[in-house]
Amino acid sequence: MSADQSTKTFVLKGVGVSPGIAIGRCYRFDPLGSQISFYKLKDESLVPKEVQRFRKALKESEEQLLDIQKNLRKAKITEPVYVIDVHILILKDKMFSNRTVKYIRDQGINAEWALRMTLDHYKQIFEGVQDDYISSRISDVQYVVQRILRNLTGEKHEIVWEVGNNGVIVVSHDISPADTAQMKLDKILGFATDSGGRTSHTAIVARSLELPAVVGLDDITHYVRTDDEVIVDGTAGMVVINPYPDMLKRYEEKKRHYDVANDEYLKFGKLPAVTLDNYEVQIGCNIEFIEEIPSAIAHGAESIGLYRTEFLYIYREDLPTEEDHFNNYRQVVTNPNLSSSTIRTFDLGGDKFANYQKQSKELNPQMGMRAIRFCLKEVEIFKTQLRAIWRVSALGKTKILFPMISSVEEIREAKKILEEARQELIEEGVNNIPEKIDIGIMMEVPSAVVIADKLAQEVDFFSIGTNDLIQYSLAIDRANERLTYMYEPLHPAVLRLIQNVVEAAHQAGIEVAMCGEMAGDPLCILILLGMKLDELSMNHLAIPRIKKIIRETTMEEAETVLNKALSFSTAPEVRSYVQDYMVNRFPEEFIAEED
Amino acid sequence: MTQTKTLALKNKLGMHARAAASFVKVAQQFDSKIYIERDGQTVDGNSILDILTLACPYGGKLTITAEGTDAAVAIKELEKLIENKFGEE
Repeated sequence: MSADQSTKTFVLKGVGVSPGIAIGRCYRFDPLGSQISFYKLKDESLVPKEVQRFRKALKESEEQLLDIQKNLRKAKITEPVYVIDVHILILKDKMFSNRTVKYIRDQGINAEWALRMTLDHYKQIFEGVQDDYISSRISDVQYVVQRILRNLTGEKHEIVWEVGNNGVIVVSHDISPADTAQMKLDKILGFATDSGGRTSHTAIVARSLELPAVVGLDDITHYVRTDDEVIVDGTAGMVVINPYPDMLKRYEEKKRHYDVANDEYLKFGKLPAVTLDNYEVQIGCNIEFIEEIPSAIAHGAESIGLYRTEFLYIYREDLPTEEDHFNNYRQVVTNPNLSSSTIRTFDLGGDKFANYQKQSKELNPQMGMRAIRFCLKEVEIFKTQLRAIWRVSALGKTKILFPMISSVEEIREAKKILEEARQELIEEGVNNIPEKIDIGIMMEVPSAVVIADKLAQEVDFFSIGTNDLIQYSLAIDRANERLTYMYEPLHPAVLRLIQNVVEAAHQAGIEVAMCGEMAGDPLCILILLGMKLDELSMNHLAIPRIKKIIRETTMEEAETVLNKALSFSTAPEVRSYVQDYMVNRFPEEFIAEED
Repeated sequence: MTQTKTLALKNKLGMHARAAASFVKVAQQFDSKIYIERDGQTVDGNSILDILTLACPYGGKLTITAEGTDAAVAIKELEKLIENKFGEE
């Protein structure tokens, strides 16, 4: 990279996985990058010394990993300690080390270069393996190689923290559990990585620490160097490197607003969501990880309206045991600040289960063998989760939610298996298993909405999943970028579907919640309020603003807006009406979005 | 002494990282040389990377060979590990 590039401004777009804005100096965490030098040894006599240097780095790496493992165990971190086991075994793998030594000897190159060749060798082999899971294990080899390289270059401390007291933004290709275990997390302002998605390790750590993070930036490590000024906008999914002064000022301003707004709004979070004419709505939070509970409560969640359990299956390679489920759920349902917790049984397709991978290459997985359909086929996997839910339901108010129900038969079958799980527990002598648990279904498949009255006879509550309901009812693939303009929660058909569900539920005397993104959209709140949904569950950041609007309106106003919105024939008309109304009525809440 | 045994993997995930790690850990306890063969490909039973590249799925057959004084015990222990599904489930 030439000198003048160092101050060039780059704006990169990735996936925002943890909201907020961080501004600070970059710490480039990636020893596989340019600072590693590759060179030929001057003469053969240097070979033994080079081999020794390599062996020493291997030994040091192993000792470090053993240390990390010990600390993880001591801290009772649920992080899979075995991953580090695998890394240690790679370090000790003779095939791996002998190959590297051979490269040093045969080609007269330094250890770094030889190691790089070994990595390339394994890359080629792993790429050739048919099994996706196995071929992705090359990342483990990469982590190990990175660590050895760090030791070779003498960067013993992995993370250089002598960057002043202002903290750093960690920029890396990827961050492994072992890496974060060694980071001083209180010195980190934000994260930006080349790879990763919402469930990547970086994303999870960032969310639990409430630090802004953007992942999936592809090649940020190529543009940025340690000590560069970096802005991470985790809300917009953007990273700016070396912002020019005006831009920096704008972002500092934005960050101040964000922080102030956060503090301001947090006050509303504490208050109940009651309209001026005394109509109260229950406000829940959608979570995926137990680490999110503290921020959910801080932002004003009264309950967990949706606890997604997919994570338990994805972030590991074996199946979670009943105890794994139980230990996670227990921490949710026993939280004294939550009135109830709704656990949704896993919504996954076979592709997430290693041994089903091959048979589950589906053309249209969104409509494929997933969620309840998969569970009803793989009863044993399903029961493990159900048993754990029964057990925690004795410890705190627990509701169970079945995803993707499209018929009465499915919910009956699911209930039958749920009851079997209960009987089994009782027969095994497990104490305190309750007689019953609140059973709900996701209303996200159009056929379920059409027969909502029939389904209401089967369950204790509904929860409307707008994301999928919109995608299925409007027949748009959410992943298809060319169709995003059609994805419209305010489509008249969508509004009617939601209204159908609410009416069917209330006629049957059961509660109805909404847990899709629409529930946390301030633009839609009066409409949802007018429909008389009993609970709205959303991401924690949306809660304060939603509560604030509810507290400043009346049911009468909400019904008026709803009726007017329902009178239009087209989605653009509904949107333009609602938008104008909300912006005029709650100017403070919507101004920021003009930015 | 050389001992050989052919076994099918019973754990649902097949020979994945965790299982391979358990295998190597057991194999390392013996003086015998351990080899695994699958579909004509033979790898070192002490090399986690080699074992992984076999990509042996659930139900897949492996032939384990041990050469050395403690070959019989080694085979017995490795068989036990596979029969116990590597402690999974």
